[in-house]
Amino acid sequence: MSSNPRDESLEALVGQKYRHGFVTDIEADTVPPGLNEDVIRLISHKKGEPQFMLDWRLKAYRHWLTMREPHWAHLRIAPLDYQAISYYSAPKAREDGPKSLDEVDPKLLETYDKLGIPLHERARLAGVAVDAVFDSVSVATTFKERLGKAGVIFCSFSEAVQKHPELVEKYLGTVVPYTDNYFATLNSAVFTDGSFVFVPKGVRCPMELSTYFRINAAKTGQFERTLIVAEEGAYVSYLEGCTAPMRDENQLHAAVVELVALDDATIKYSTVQNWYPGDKEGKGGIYNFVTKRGACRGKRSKISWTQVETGSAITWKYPSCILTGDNSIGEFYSVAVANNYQQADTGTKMIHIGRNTRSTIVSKGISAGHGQNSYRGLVKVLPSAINARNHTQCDSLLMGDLCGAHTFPYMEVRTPTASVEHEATTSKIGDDQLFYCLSRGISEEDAVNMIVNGFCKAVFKELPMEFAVEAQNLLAVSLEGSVG
Amino acid sequence: MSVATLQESRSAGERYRAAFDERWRGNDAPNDALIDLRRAALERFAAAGFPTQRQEDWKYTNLRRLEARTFAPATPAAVSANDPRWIANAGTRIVLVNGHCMPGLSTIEPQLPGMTLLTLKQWLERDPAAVAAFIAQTSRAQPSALEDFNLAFFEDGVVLDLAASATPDQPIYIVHQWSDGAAQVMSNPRVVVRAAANSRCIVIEHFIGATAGESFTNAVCEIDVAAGASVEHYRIQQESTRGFHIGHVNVRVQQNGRYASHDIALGASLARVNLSTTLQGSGAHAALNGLLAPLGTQHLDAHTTIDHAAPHTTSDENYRGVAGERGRGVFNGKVIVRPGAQKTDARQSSRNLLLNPGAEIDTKPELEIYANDVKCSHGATTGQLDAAALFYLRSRGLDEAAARALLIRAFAESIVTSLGSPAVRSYLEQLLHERYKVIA
Repeated sequence: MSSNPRDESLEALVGQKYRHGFVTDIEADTVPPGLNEDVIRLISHKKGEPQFMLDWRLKAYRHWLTMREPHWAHLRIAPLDYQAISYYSAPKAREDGPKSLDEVDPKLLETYDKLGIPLHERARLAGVAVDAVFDSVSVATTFKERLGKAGVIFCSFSEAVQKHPELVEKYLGTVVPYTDNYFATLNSAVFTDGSFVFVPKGVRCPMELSTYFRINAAKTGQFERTLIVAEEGAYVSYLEGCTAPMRDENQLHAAVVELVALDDATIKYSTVQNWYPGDKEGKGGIYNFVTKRGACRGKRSKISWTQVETGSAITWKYPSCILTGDNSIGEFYSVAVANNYQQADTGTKMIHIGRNTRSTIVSKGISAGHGQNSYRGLVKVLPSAINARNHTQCDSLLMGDLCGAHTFPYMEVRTPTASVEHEATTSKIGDDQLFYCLSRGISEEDAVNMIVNGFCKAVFKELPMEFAVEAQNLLAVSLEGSVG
Repeated sequence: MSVATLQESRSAGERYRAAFDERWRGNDAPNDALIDLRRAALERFAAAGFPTQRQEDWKYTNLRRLEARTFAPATPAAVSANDPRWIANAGTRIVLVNGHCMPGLSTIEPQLPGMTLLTLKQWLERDPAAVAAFIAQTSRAQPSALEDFNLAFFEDGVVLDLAASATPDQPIYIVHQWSDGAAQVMSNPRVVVRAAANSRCIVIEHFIGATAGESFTNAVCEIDVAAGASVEHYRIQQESTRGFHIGHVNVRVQQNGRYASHDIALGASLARVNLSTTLQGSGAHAALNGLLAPLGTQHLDAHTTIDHAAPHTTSDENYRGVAGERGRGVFNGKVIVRPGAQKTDARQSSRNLLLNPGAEIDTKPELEIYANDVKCSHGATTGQLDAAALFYLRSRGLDEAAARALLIRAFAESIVTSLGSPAVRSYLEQLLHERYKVIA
């Protein structure tokens, strides 16, 4: 097969080095590796947290000690040494912290430039506020004033703990309790920062909110915690994008995202995840073990998850919706790519509790090289969910004969008026499809790109504009050359 | 100390080890050539115990009620020589009562041309070494705890050998029946079907429960379909609604062979069938059809695995569930495509109907694919009767109950209409008619 000239050109593309692979040389304030109650007290102290936070962290840690690592996913995971991880790393800030962009460490700004986040430009031109999380501590936040006028709170989690402890205390852990699962519990004990969004009653957030996460200091696990609350009638769209420097050791990333939507509120959460997937032999790469869950508590509320997962050595992620409010809506749109030795076990849970609740799941899995891609999803309709509706579409595209595509859908229906539908297909890029495109003068490379993008279109159209473009490019780089 | 507390204080392994010793070491125990195999199986079972819901395969089925009881190996008993529940004109009949073959009730002599039909007991008497070799050859690398349980306790069953190109002109009808009043007893029958190249047959397994007592059937069926052969296998499960039924069907299909299964689950308080088909030669085909129809508080579970281990293999699976009252249906269908099994074509459909609040359907169609040039699809739906269809029937003058009954039967019978045996087909149609006259 490699004698085929088209493969060579495609291989050149796929052989591209990870573009965001560099390490910023910044003096970091890092705690020695290891995990015990003192480390947790230290994290809490360093962040000047109120007592309730420390108590919560310690409860989580004590519970975590009683738990065992989960191994039910269709994944092969090298053993993790939780004592070898440093649980706190903050870039050395000036005493008072930056008041504006001018005060931000120029080296950090340089890093953002390399990553393609033109902070000022984006802020001015695109109208996007960026709360850039650099290794655990937020260093720059823009558009705060404009959001402040609208009444929207958008800040780092640490800042929210200082300035709005009552909101944090009210909502933290109400969607993902500290006892939820092994990685979420670990996160609850040691999380260092993240984003906090609060959109008050009746407010439509005036701009798309965006956070770029970036793992930096070596051997530092990233434990982000994001909490988004939309009050009655509020609307917010949140974008999350990730890149990480190239490194050989596996890095653990165990984030938690909690969303709360009250009556008539809508939260749209979009992710493009492009962490370092490891090299061609499967060495290195990020372990992405994330717990994301949204609670549609209010009537007619809506939570929509959209994700494009092209990075990470292992992805273990199930953004879910708990549809408690009557007439509430949950959506999940996903493109997951597993190339080389990447493994992905991802999907969603839709728990229907309220009447007339509706959910839509569209999952597109692409496997190439030795990649293993699994969709794992649960649709649960409780007896109270009269007239609940679900439709699940779950497609896999296989490129190459060494990869795998797996589907594990669970459907539990306990109400007769519910309607639950699941469809799944598996296919490859057909020779006839390629031939057709070639005969129309389209190059092989463009043809493959077009077919793959067409395969993913149902998901891409859910992404905000800027992300949709980025996602298509990302997919092209992650995949081409794997078609045989 | 009462018997009940005594039982609770011992694990299932210990209780059945005692039963095992009593059965195979008592004064009248036969000199069993398989005793070592059986002992090893019993120890594996004792170590593993009954499966629990913590095991992914048993997530939806709780065996605590089964585990809490201790069933004694059942002994032969006399039954009526012409039971009305037997399917008339179904084929050559062989009757097992409480897990023991009853030659007097069977119509296997004279044997059909090209076919050798023995009871398992006969085979054990004639050639114990061959039985041991067959078990060693067919047992899987990691047998399940309940298959081991059967191996430890099985006493009788049916061994059907078809010669090359044999095509018996009537189906082989195997009745597994409990005697009236059988209670707190278990049976572990084994059925072996070996269809040589280009042979063809229909095998009907019919499980009929006792009128009242609690019983436990743990049946194993091993089917080998050689190149070009075709086996149609019906499994009609009508245990008593107080009974427990566990079934294991292991099928291996060679080149261009064909296996078709019709798995109809109507009875038992708790039933579970593990149907595992491996397509080992290119051109092999499996067609799996099933109906789960829980009513009352029944819990009916079907787990199927189709393993495409060779290229150019095809499978078509079609399961339907109709859950009424407080019944619960579970379907888990797994399709595996092994590396190199290119040009596999696998289709799977699970359609389910919930008749009323309180009923539940859990369905899990799984695909595990390790080859790229394949066509695999599955679909699963759960819902209620189509309002438009109901309206149409009512506008034609049917009352609501009759319209509902008609639609439910139409939904369930679609599995039955493809049966190759007219006798079984009309029997099942009648059964479904009766079943849904009341519930609708």
